[in-house]
Amino acid sequence: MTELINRTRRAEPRLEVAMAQMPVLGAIREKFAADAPLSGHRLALCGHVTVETAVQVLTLVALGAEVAWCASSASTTDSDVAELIRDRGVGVHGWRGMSEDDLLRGARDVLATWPEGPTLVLDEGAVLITALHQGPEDAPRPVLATEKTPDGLAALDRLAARTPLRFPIIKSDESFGKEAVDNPHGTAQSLLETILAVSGRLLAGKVFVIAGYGRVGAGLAERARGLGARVIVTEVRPTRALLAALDGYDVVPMAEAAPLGDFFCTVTGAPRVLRGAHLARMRSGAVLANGGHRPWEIDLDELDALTVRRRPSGPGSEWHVLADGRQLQLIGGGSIANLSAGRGNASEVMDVTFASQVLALQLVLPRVAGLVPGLHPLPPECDDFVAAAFARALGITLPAETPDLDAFTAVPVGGAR
Amino acid sequence: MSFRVTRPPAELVELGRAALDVARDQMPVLAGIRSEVAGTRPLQAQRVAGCVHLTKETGVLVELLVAAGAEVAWTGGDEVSTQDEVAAALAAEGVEVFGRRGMTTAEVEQAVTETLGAFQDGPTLLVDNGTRLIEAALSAPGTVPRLVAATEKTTEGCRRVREWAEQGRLRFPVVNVNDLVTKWEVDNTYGTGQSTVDGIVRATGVLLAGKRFVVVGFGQVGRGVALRARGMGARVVVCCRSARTAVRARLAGFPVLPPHEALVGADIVCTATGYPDVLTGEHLDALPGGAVLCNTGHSVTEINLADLAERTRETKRIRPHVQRHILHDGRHVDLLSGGGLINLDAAEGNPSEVMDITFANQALAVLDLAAGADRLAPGVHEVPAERDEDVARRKLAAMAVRIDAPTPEQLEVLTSGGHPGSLGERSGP
Ligand SMILES: NC(=O)c1ccc[n+]([C@@H]2O[C@H](COP(=O)([O-])OP(=O)(O)OC[C@H]3O[C@@H](n4cnc5c(N)ncnc54)[C@H](O)[C@@H]3O)[C@@H](O)[C@H]2O)c1
Ligand SMILES: NC(=O)c1ccc[n+]([C@@H]2O[C@H](COP(=O)([O-])OP(=O)(O)OC[C@H]3O[C@@H](n4cnc5c(N)ncnc54)[C@H](O)[C@@H]3O)[C@@H](O)[C@H]2O)c1
Repeated sequence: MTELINRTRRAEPRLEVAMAQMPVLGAIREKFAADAPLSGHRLALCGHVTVETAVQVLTLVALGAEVAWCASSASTTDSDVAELIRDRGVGVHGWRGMSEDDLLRGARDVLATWPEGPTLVLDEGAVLITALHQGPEDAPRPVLATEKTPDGLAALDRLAARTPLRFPIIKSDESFGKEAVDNPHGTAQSLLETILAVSGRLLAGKVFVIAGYGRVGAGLAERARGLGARVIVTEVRPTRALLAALDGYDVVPMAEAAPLGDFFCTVTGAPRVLRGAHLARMRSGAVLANGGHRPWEIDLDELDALTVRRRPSGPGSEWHVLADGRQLQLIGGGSIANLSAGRGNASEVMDVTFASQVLALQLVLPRVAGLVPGLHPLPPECDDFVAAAFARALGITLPAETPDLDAFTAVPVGGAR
Repeated sequence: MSFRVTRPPAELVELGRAALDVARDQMPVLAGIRSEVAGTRPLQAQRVAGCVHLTKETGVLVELLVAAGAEVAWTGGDEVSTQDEVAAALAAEGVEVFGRRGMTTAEVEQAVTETLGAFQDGPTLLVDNGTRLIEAALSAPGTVPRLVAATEKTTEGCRRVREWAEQGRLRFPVVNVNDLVTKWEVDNTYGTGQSTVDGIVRATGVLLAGKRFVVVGFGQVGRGVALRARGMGARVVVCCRSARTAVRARLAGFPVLPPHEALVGADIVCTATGYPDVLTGEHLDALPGGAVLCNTGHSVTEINLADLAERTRETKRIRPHVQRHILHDGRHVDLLSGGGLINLDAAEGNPSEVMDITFANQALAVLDLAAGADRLAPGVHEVPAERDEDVARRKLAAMAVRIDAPTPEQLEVLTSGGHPGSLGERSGP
């Protein structure tokens, strides 16, 4: 018992800090909580059990929803946070060290929280939505769901090819927050921060090779240049390569960049961008990191084939000693570096992403009757709200005639089924 | 009276040819397309009527269309931008050219009508920039019995064409050659960003380092101006109308202030919004004495000139492109280029290298239309993303930049619909 109380106490200050750093979710609570637009709704949520998701959950509770939460990943669960949120009356299915089976069981348990099932679903990786398509056709269905990850949406595309989707699902992955805040600023900063912290190297004067000049890559390039690195970009898409060149970066094929780089970071989303032929030509001491979501951008099989010995090098990385004596430092085992070896995105950045998801449910709910089952884009008013709230949090004064946060009024609520 | 350019003086033709030579050297993408089509002459059966500012760069586009086999009639569609020497050189090559520098708005309209009527059976294709030709063709269908399709290069123009399509008035397909990364971003952000700062420096001769530089509007153009002014050491402040752009500008490191606050300490103010009355009397009242005012947005309406005139006691032309307004309260402000486009007036507009890309999109769209316009329904059509990539690929080749080809495995991932954002709105800081 005292153990439990201790845990709750341990997480409390962190929750407070996160709350203060997540002003967009704060604005949602401030604007809408009084009207309790989600009251009567049973909401099933799948997400990392972290203090930031806890702020999202508490926001949903403040909007009136009854929430049950399952962990989306076995490695990220913070048991103190889980305890703290349980303490506030939310069912949390997740603990540190749970297995993949435990994860799936957690998802099923969340859906079984209510005999009639959830009315709303906030998903990550399409875990809950997929499970809701496995039961009998006439099982109770939620009225609305949302999914935020590209992987989850890809899974839903595959699901839709096999069976008709049973309810409307809002895609909250392509959002203003992701496009303008998360990827070019949040992710770019957190990747660079991780690479520097783990490698402990000086960036000024070094050659920093970035594969992929997309949203993340462009932000990363600007930051690395700001710290004094000479940045080289590799691309496969001519338009993006042209923009990189016009932004003043050297653009070359990876085979030419490989022998020049001191640092390599892949942010393409594509498989095997750094392959054996590239690894074989790298300088000893080169640092390798992947910022893409899947651990396939650096070809780990080919790296292993070249490696004769591995040497630990402090937390978050490993030296690969190759047959000819060269050593390459691999960050986070080639998995998404800022999550596997760093602190992940700042709370301020997750605020924007999580707020889009909450709004995808809350602002769409009043007109859900008009939505056919299947995937739907995030409505622009969700982005407008996020931008207005974020601008206010940054202390930006907009001209009087610009619709700002005050333009959003609480919307009338469609009752729960 | 006709605005047809006939028997141009030999010296003018020489001047024009020299200007075209200079432009051609800096337009390698058009040169590449031209050499591809010169042998096959795919536009042989086509009569192309064009209405795009008649500059030396446009001249290079016209030459390409002629080399591809088309009969061409052209007009600039603008009161002041026609370069008479270029018009002369093109006319000497057999192009039907209408108009001259310094026309009234009514005369511009007449030149457009003449261009549309230049061919016996009317044009088969239109190359438009602001829907003057398209509009004329719609209101007098009898003049264009063989018209197959048109291209349109401006945002405003495409919006109008969409409206006509909805009203059922549009009888032919129109290809939108504006919403392309290689146009929208390269031309507006990099081209106009540079030429605007260039124009301000040429007109005023000021040192930018340390100056308080206010950019009003942070779209594609404003962002380019702001980044470049910062690069020259100016202290840049941005004014935005929407929360979304305000967040973008702030995260790119710019202070974002409402105009009445930003203008208080401004040394230089540049509007870049595309909307009228962005700077009105109340803003002018906030400016410190000595401020420089200019515009690089769509037209002369962004700075309200009537409000400025109302506050002006006397004006003096202190340098070419610079009009000093002494105000009733004794302050003075310097208006550049009469509030018109600073980069076109005080500098040379977009560099030829930029127009190379913009016009490559138009040339390829015309070639595509000639090859298969009959497959398009009346309405507005977007250029396929692959064309955008093609133009970028050609430009990279001209810059001697080489990139990776995706492996078959990567190509599958890239084309399986996973990355809609990567070609969309610009995200970089
Ligand atoms: N680390 C994080 O926290 C985090 C956050 C957001 C996104 N991501 C991931 O980062 C990756 C990039 O995201 P984005 O938003 O920048 O995507 P994006 O689509 O905007 O950019 C990816 C770029 O990579 C280029 N590319 C593809 N294959 C390539 C290859 N073989 N070589 C060189 N370039 C190649 C594409 O042309 C594109 O320009 C994705 O996998 C995304 O899921 C990670
Ligand atoms: N000078 C040139 O050679 C040249 C070249 C290209 C485009 N343009 C013109 O420049 C203008 C802007 O083009 P763009 O591509 O940047 O368009 P854009 O739509 O990307 O950007 C315009 C921005 O101005 C903002 N805005 C509108 N009214 C405002 C106000 N009152 N105060 C502050 N911000 C305001 C809008 O919110 C938007 O963000 C257009 O009219 C375009 O035709 C000029």
